[in-house]
Amino acid sequence: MVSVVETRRQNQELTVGKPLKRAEDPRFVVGAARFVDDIKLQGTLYATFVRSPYPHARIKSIDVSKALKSSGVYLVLTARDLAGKIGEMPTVEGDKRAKPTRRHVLAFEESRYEGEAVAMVVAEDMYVAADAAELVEVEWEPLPSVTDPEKALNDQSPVAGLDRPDNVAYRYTFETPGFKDAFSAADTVIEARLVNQRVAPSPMETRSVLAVYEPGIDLLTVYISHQDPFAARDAIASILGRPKPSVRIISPDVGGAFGSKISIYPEDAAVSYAAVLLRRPVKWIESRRENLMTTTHGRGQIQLVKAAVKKDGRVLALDIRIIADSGAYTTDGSVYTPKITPEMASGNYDIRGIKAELVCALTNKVPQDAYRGAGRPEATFLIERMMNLIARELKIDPVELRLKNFVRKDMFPYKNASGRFTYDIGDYEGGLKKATKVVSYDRLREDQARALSQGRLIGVGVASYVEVCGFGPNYPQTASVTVTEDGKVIINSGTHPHGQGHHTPFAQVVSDELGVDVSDVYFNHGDTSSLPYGTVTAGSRSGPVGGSAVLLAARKIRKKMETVARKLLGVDGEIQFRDGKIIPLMSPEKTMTFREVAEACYNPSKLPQDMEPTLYEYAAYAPAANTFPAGTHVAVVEVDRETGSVRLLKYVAVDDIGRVLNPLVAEGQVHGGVVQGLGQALLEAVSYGQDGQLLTSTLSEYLLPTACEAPQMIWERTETYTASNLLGVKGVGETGAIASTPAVANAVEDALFLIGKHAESMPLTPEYTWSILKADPHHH
Amino acid sequence: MSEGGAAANGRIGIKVVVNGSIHEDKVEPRLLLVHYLRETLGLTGTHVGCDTTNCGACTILMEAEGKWRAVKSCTMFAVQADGRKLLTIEGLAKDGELHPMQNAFWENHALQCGYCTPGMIMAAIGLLQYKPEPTEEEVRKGISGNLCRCTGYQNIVKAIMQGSKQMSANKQTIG
Repeated sequence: MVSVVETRRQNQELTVGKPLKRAEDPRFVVGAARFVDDIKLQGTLYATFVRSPYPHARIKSIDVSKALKSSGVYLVLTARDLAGKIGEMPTVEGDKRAKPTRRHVLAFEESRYEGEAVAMVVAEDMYVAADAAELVEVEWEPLPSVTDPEKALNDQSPVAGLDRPDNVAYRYTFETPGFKDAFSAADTVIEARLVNQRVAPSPMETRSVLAVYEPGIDLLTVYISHQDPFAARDAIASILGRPKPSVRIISPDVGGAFGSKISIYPEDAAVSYAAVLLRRPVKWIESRRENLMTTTHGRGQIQLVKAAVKKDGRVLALDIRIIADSGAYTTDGSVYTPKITPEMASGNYDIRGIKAELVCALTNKVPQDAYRGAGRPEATFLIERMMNLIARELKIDPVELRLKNFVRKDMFPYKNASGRFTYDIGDYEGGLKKATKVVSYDRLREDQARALSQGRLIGVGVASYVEVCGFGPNYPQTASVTVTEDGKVIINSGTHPHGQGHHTPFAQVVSDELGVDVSDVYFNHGDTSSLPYGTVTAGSRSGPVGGSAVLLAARKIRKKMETVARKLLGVDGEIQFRDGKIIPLMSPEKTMTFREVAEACYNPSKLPQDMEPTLYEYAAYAPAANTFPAGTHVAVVEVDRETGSVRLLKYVAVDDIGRVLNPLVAEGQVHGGVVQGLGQALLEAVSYGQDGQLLTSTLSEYLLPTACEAPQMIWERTETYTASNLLGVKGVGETGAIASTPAVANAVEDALFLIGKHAESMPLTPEYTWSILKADPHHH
Repeated sequence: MSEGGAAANGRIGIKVVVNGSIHEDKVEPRLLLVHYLRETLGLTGTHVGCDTTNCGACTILMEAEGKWRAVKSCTMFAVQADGRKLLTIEGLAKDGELHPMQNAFWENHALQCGYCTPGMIMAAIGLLQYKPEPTEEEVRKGISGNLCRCTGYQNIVKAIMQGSKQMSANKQTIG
């Protein structure tokens, strides 16, 4: 396999690897971007939803007559109006262990979480729609509910949904052959209960849909803020019972997603149906309250871990039970996301035995789905929190403990403990050593001791991680490259950018392959009419898989242009593409411009016989292997003994993300991921009251990190070479969020260890940390 | 000031100067200023990110007593802006030239999804009105009412530091 963009263009400096600023930024900084709500179509009507105020209730009746009578209202729909007209929401597919649930587009007879939509009002503007929604009268019969996933698994628990009496969405167990022997060889077993709380992905742009139906051509176009346009097309087509070609998705500029815009939601289907019914554009823009209440949450695992260890610190085996909080319905996201956690729970370590049980519990909450890292952050959290506890128990320095257990450089390819993933390559020791050097680890420990003698609590938290990206070959990613007659290049990307910044790094790949200037490469995304197929932006796969598809398409273009150039010039041998020229190496005096050859490709008379005119190539890339980014992050915190508040003093991230297409863009991903992850460690928690009511329904209660909580981060890299894709890229979208939660939590715990205390759960808010500080140690 | 007063259909007349242009409209008293800007005037660069004045995506500048102040346009009614001068993200660039703060955001990779960006830029310029040469710490405090979920703020702070220096060098206060 040819593994990197070949460096045959000897004299042209490669653009891949350069920190070029992003081509798309000007439209964003001047306010000219086009998010869904910025698209204004004449005659647009506005939808709003009537939602359940109860965590679990029977819907006895709905009276829409008053709402229908109000002026400016065009349509009010309930489940009864949809029955037989459109299908239901997708449940889980492909794994018999997963227990499907039935979910209607608008709740029918039973609603299973606070905020679930039971009726939709469509009116001439959003104010009128909101007024009319108030007039919809729903007769509710509240039912017993359960929001605690552990309690949901008790025999006596209320059911979260009437069709699944055991509250189990999924059960997944495995035990590796050597587990029993490994476990019984331990000197000691260290146990912990770790809580990885539910969090809200909270992209700044909420979910947004604008559906437009053109009856003449029977085409439903749905503008939607989404991560996966083709899957959105397929899901909407399926629910509405339409052929796929009669649905077109346009996912324009999207204001962040983080996993929460992977799935199709009930509102998307209802709005699409209304547009077909009314033959008018219908728009729905989610409020922030709705976003916190009805957009999928992430994480949400209780992890019960037993680690079998030797006195010298060698970790032999793990016995894990994970209870995942799947929420009200079984969906692909609510069960397959946590499935990765036990499969990656051995992390960077050469642990030979693992026994795991994952139970996905149904609860009266919005379904869980992917959130930046999707299953791997929970795995890293599990093992890295354990390493901290083991280090303390055995009185071994946490860095030394990690070095003792790492998969060594000479052990790759390495099949991990679960046997589910084979790490292709890495240098975990190198990453950790670099991180400790950059952060001056030894000096930090001295500083920590000095500070303690003055009564101050400084904590140093280390987290090493390895994660899995790419997720081939089942989700081939696609791209096309077009060269227009004027010698400009257009990339149509199957992978959708919503902050990651695909345009410039992909243009750099094309620039190196075709020898054109980066500024001559245009970029389109998010329109299902522009490519035959495409797959999700997730799992940090846009670079490794999407980027490789771009390269493949560019290579096909290059091949065709070489053939045409040889014919036009009457030369054989190697041809260089550089600086906008096409140069026959053996007779450089015959050089043509890139534009001239492009132009010729549109002229049948100039082409070799049987060659099709025009210059367009499509590629689908399905790598057989995954990539395994890895690294070590170190956080340094001070815990205020009086207030319990935690201040980040220092943050160092060292990542091996393979080859870097654009370091400016890559570093931005790390910054953002780190701050999201520390948000979970210090601030963020979706919380429900005893009665099942959501307590964090605004950004006043659900606290996102501000600039004041975010640390100044130092980013460094190590690099090992992966052959798992054409670009040698491993993926960088999720590393920060994966490493920083345990790094920060370990740092706070490291500070608490100094005075003989520890923290069980997150977020480590001032209130929680203060309560730990003030607790009587004798009654701990 | 415009004549004001309730019109026959319950609407109230307002007169505002937005990005240098005068606009007179009759609006519902409950119409939010951000919706007036986005829906009535078509200035969609100002975004809505929450319902509770927490996120700052809707931040614009408003002149009050001769001074420009950053305000969150989702927390004002359009009628409250009657008689005021407003500046939105669309009013910053002049003759196709980016404003120094816009340019600093681009140069420093201070945006990813770009949704918070207009509000963040307006908040930054608002901060400079009363603190023309802020320290990094003051920048962080100054934009703590504006949320960004993508960048981790590091490059935003860097951009605002650079933008403020450039504006000082230009002796520039606003646009």
